[in-house]
Amino acid sequence: MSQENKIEIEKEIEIELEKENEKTIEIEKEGSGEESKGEEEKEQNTEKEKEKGGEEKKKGPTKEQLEKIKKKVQEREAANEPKFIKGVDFSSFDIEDYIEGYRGHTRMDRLLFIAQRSEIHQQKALKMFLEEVKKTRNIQKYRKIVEKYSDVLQDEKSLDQKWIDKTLKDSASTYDSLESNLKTAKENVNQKGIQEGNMQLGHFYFDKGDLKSALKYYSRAKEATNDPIETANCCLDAIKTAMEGKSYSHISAYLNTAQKKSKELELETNGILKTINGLLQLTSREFKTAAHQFINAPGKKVFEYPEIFTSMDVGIYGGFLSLATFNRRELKRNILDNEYFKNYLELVPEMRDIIYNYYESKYADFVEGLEKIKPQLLLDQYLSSHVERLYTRIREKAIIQYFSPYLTLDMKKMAKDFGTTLELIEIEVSNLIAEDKLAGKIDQKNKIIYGTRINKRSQTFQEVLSFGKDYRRKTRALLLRANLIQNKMTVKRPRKKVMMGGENMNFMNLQLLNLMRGFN
Amino acid sequence: MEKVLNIILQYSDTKEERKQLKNYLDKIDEQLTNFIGQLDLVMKQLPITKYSLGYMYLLAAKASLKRFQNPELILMQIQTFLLQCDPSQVSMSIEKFFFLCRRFVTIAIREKFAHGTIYPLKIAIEKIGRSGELTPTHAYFLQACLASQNFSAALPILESDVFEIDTKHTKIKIKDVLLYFYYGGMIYTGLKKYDEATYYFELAVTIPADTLSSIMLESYRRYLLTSILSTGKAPLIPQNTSMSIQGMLRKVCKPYEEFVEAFKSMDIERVGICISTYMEVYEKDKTFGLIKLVRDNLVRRKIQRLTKTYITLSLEYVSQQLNMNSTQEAEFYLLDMIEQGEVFATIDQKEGQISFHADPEPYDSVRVSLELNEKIQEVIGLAKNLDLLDEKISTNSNFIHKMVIKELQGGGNKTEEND
Repeated sequence: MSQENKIEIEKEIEIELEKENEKTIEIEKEGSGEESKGEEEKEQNTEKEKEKGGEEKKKGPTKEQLEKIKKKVQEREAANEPKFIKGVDFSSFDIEDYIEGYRGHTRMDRLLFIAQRSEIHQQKALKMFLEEVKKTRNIQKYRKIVEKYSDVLQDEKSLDQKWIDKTLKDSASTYDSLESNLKTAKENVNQKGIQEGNMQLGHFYFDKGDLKSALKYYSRAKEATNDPIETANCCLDAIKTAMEGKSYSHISAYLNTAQKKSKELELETNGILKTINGLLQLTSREFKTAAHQFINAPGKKVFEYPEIFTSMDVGIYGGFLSLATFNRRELKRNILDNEYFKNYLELVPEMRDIIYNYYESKYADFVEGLEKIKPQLLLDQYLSSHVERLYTRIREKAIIQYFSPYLTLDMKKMAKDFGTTLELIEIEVSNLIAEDKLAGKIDQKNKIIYGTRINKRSQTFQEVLSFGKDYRRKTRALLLRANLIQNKMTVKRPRKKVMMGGENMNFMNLQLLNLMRGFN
Repeated sequence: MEKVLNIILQYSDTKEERKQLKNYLDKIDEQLTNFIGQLDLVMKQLPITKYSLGYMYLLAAKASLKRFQNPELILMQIQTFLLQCDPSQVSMSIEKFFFLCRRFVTIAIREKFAHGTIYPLKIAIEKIGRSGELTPTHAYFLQACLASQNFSAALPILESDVFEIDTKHTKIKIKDVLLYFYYGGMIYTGLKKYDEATYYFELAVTIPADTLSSIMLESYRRYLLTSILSTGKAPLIPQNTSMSIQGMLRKVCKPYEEFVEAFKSMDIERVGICISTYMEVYEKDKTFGLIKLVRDNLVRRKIQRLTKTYITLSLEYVSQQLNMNSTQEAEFYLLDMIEQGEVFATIDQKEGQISFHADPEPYDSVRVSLELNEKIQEVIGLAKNLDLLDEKISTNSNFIHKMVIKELQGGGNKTEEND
């Protein structure tokens, strides 16, 4: 194939891929929790996407259709554009420290994420991002970001055409050699060679940003081997790819495959797989399950998989999610008494302190610590969209715990300990009471909360009386129905002959009849 | 007609004779309508109690007319008949009797005389049917009470818990059953007893059905509304509704389902929007009154929610929270609720403060223990009924037959013992 042809083909593939990627991003953005709009719209979006996806697959895209779809996706993307997070001070956040622990593509992704959300860091993050992207072969990503943020980037405004050309050339020749290697291996029925060849091509496409093809080759590589360790490795690579493209169904599938033979894998690999499972649960908002995954992942050695997460991440995710979802007993059992997980918590002393402060009821420190790590959590790719919700939950739990030993409590003191105003704490408490999470009553005049002593006796009477009433009613209804059925009495369909004057028709008008016909 | 009169006079003494009389009357029934003019004369010659059977047929023939020159007369005649008739004779041709009752109510409603039918119908109910057994007359009775707005007159019948059905004895039709519960619900609604109303509407909706009847439809709509009025919570579709109609009910009652959703959100504005969107539907269904009641109820619910959370509260706060126009409005609602016993509180007008108290019912009086006793007895009675029913079914030859076949087919997996 001539050079020009290849480049043209590449370009066409790029365009298609862009669409695919954007589509997957669109679909999964909703899943990963870009809290852009209400749930209905999300459903609509996914449905529309699925429709379009179905359309495309069926007919085979014509150029016109491609154009149209591209436009629509662009419009949608514009609407779902990630925005800066306002109201939070990100100055305490150090990008370089943060990105230090990661490797590979996730550096790029995380940097982009930060650039889009923190106004202060945008320029620096973008610059670092461009450095990273140039280490890969992903030309279109490079191009896209440079164009998009050209007004922010001052020095690197223009496209580095030299790099683009070099990369294209390089990709083409690598592709050639890899293809021929694979071909040879296939001809010689060299199983190992086939597997390796597929892996290499998978890596190649991954690097280029062609996630769909990468997945294809990884899965072929996986099928070419029976060794559980190699399978697990292929799965990990596939998972890595799927995570970048946010295609969660793939992740789940590969996780399953890899974990089938978990006994034969090293402890470390198992831990990695569990953590990835945790991340998956996180994206589907299964916070408690995710917490369990993170906590049970660790083994004797501290592990990490820097292409997706660091060991500190395990500590943060595990700690944060447990704080939000566990009750006191669970917290003690799973975190405080958990030897293995402790190692991870030690890596993130702020998180550790928050948990300990919560457990020891040191509320002022607790609240302070919580506020302090907020910026960091908000800039994490996986946690960001859930932070607000989980924070509210944690706060609620803290308030409930704070109040539990008291019979009467002065709200002013409570407000001070929680670092808010009297009005705000009153609103929080009254909401909790209304939702039955807090057993108390507010004396608004004196600003005191009184714990309710539930009168068990009158409660019992009330329950008994209502239960009795319920039973009587249900039994009567049952006897009635049994009677009716015994006498073979049911509401029957009117026969067509009985049109006028028949007893059945007296009360049914034709409209209703038509309605019923419509339902049959 | 002379012939008919003579036959009636002759064949009304013994049971055997009456049977023959009935057969005869059935045969000539249709022809009776040809002699409308003479019916009155003939009827005048027959003392009602002795000749109830014959009289009934004649009267029924007259009543089957669509229009009357002298409606008061026919109403009087039926009324007297109902009061004086002999149950044993009348029960030989029970359908005629019910037909008569039905015409009675229909004519009376047209002549705006529904209130006059209440007492005679009550007597009629007592004459026919065992106590606790549902007859078509029950439905007509309720209809009369409803039409004349004499709700409390219906209470004794409603509270006697009529739940038995025996088609052989009463020849009751499913429509009558539906109507009974529907009217019952309406009457309880009129009496503002929303709890019972919900129960009756629920009964109407859970009647076994293959298809949707409009009575059931209306019952379901009102069920939704009265359920909110009584419990303040959004109701689910009754568990035992026939599967085939559940979906249909939901679809056809969309305006109501939406209204319920709006109520659930506790947002007064949203409820208002919903009402104005579907106003036509509500008015057409004649449920608008209920809808308005429910909307009022929302305010009360919100106040009740406040009682849960607060011990003392300022009137200012209440009126703010509920988007009211002034503290007076808040005070007004509260006063009403306190009087109704929906809330236990005292208002300090000078300070503009409200203090809420706990429910002062201590449950330690003789009255309570008597009540409990009574209810326990009821429950024991019901449980006995259930047992009887269970026994009846399990010893039913058809059922045993089926179970045996099942066991043989299933390879003896099920080893349920029938007591």
